Amino acid sequence: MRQWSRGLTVAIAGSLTACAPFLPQPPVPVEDREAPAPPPRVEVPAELERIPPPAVPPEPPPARQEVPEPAVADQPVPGPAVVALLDAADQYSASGQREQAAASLERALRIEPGNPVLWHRLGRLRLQERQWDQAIALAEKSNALARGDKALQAGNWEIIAAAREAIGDATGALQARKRAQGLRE
Amino acid sequence: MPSRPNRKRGKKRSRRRAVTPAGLWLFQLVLIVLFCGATYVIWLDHLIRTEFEGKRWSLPARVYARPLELYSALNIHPGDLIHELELLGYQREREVDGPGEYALAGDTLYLYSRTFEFWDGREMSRKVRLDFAGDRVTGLADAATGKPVPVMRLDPLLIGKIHPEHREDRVLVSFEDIPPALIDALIAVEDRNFFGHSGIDPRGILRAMWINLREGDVVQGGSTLTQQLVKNFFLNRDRTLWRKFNEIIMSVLLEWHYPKREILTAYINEVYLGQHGALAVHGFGTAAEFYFARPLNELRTDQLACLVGLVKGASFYNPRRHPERALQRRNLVLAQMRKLGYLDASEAGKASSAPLGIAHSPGWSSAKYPDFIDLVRRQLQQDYRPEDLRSEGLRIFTTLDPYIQDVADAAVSRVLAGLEKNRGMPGNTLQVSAVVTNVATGEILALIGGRGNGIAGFNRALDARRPIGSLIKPVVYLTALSQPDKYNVHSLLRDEPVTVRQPDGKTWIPKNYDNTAHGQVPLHTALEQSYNLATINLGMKVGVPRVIRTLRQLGVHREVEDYPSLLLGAIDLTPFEVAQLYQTLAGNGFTVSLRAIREVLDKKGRPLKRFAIRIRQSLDSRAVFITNFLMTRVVSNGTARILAARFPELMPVAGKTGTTNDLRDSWFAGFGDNVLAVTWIGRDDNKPAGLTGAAGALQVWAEIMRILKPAPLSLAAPENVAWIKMINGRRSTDDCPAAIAFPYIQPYLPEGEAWCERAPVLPGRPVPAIPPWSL
Repeated sequence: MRQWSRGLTVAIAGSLTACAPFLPQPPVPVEDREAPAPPPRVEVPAELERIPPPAVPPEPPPARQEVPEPAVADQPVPGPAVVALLDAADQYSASGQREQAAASLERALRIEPGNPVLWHRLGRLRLQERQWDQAIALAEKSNALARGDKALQAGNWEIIAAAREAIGDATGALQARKRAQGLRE
Repeated sequence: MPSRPNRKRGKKRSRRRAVTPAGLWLFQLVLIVLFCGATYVIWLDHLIRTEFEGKRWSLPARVYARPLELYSALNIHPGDLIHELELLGYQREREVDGPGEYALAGDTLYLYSRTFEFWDGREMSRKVRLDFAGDRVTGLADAATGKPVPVMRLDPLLIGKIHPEHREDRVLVSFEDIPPALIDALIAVEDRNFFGHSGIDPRGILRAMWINLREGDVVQGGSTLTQQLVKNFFLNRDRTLWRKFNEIIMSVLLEWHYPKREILTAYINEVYLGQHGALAVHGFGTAAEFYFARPLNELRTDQLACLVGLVKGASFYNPRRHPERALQRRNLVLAQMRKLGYLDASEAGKASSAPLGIAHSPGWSSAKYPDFIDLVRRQLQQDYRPEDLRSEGLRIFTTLDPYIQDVADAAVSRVLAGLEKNRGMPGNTLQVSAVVTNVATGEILALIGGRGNGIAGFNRALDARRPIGSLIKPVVYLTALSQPDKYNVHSLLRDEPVTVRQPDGKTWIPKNYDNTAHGQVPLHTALEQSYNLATINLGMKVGVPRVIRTLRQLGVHREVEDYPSLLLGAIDLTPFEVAQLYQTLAGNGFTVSLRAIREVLDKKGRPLKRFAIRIRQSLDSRAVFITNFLMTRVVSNGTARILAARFPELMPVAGKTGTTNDLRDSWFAGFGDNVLAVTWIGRDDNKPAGLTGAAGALQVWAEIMRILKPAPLSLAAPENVAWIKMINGRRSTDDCPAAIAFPYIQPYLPEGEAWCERAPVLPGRPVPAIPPWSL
């Protein structure tokens, strides 16, 4: 558990410092403008890709819930308020206070509702709590917002894969795992 | 066997006969009296101990609004922040040196926040400076060190209490939180010898008599604080000697069992200090909130003295009703404190010259947010027994944003008064309802259940089921767009007369609002202009059961009948249910349950229950996105285009008007990226209100959003949605100036060669001030 939380903290610290500079996505035209070209990608540093996708045994011990924290690319840098709340969420998670961590993440979501990292983090929290449906839905929500951020999307697919596996959907899990791998290549 | 007792009796009798002094009778009598007396005292002792130890004051549940989060980059007008601070009872000072104070210097606001116990821990009191540039916080830093503070919370506004049966209001204070000056003042006027006596104070009675004689007024009572506490415990107020006797015995017993500080704390929480409507105000904590709208530990000496003055007669010295008397009494308390050396001359002088400083209204009022509190109560009843709600001192943290609620309340009054005036209706003809939510979290930010003058307690937002009219149309179009191989934004629909046979055998001939059939129209135009015939034809083709399934996925759980008239909104929903439906649209197909409560804590601040975000992907994001895009065109080009014309700065937003038969119900539902609102105007007697969606409910919506200025809809397309430039229903070249980009689901893109023409012929373009076909 402790190891897990240390890994999490390191991963988050990495992901936040590795944030791409703010790349504003031009508002999509309502009427008469061309659709925006996808914003340029930021290469994900190799060390952030280190954690292999988790192997999931049928009855999940805590270790299997370790989903790698994806690097944040392409997304606007979170403001200091959200960074502080993410920190608080980490500390709560590290001390096993998951609902407190969730409360901090929800505070952050009220400030930056469109930040896919926050939805992803909430999804991981629910995965740890074995709320599989919520984990899947939150990862899907994050994916819907994480346009062009392959690393984050891969992380979301890994959450989905782990949750599907846990509810006995082996085929679905395999598909999700493949999506994740495809995005990481 | 029987002979022995006889013998004994005989002996006894003979002995008694032998020695029969009256003394023995007396002795026996004394014994009996002593025995009875002792039993009685033991009984009293039991009574007082049970009362004192078992004293679990029933505490009302306290209901809080959302706490205001402060951080750099927050959009808030300084005036709105100050308004919030004033609601919270913060005092404006020149220099900020204690919790609950603020000061304004140019574009900088200094603020000393209060410590508050939240679900996720304690938010510590801190002194900060906020720098503003216009309506934006540009810096938030510790006032002393200048170190940036990333984020902090103000204490939340108390918006209501759920009270116990016996109608007491109480805010418990622990000994540590009692201001020393309060104890000084109490001792000075009520019980000078409190720390010396053992429950009763004969010298105190004599002194009180003497002082009262000398002052010619009842300055001091003879009862000790302990006696007063006992008196309060046993509410019997008759002034008999017997009661006095009991009181004395119990006071002595109480003192014998418990230390002074416990007795004092109990006294401070128990004493009766006023009446708030039907509610008795008990204890100094409650009184501080009631008279000064601030916590007890923030009161100044003069304010504490004012409260202590109330002990003698809460009604006679009521500072709201009899400010003169209250002031006199307060200064008497201060003088007494000065005499006993609790205050020096300058302190006493300063305190005596201060105004009473009573808050206009109590620190909270259930009357201010009745509709929202009603919703909270209903959601709580699913998890808590009514008696726990009323007595366990639960702390309920809700989602209400008091600022948004105030804005919505004001908007409703302005718009409705204006509508009634312009249309020559008698005042208060129209009724109204509104639900404002946070798109991402599903939190209810504000709720309006009606205007004050209607049926009392009728919460229209939750209970008034009305046909939703054209608010159903996006559901029909979404159902079609969910089959991208069959439908896209430019699919041609037949806006032609149709006769529908309902399952009950009746035929139904729907019409367009302008009584005109428009022939073949593109799908986007049909929704923008809310054409009934095109919608019916589309819906019949797609299939009503399929539309019902979409409705379910959007979060409508009511029984829906499989009638074609459903396609034009023949379904009765409450504004709350409509908000849930549109919430899923605004969430691009993700349903979040609407919530009014975030967390529940027990009276000690320990977390009990949290209502977390619960989310579900119910629909294909791409089809929902395209539907939302079409709803932005309802606002820019369609039945709600008055909105874009009047408030271009708010665009784009997605919205839909709704009007029902004979103009009975006027609806509008609309959202940007973060805020969604559903508004309704109609009449309680269900007579025609005479308003289309655009002419009525839209006005309320616009008036709310004009002030809130929510973030527009970002319209960031999901993956696999392509923007294709179109002109007159055909694919255009990329540089074609008059072409418009429309979203398409891949791979179902429009075919044909790209072309361009100069003047596009767009249907439905004429612009009357208020569109006549806003069904």
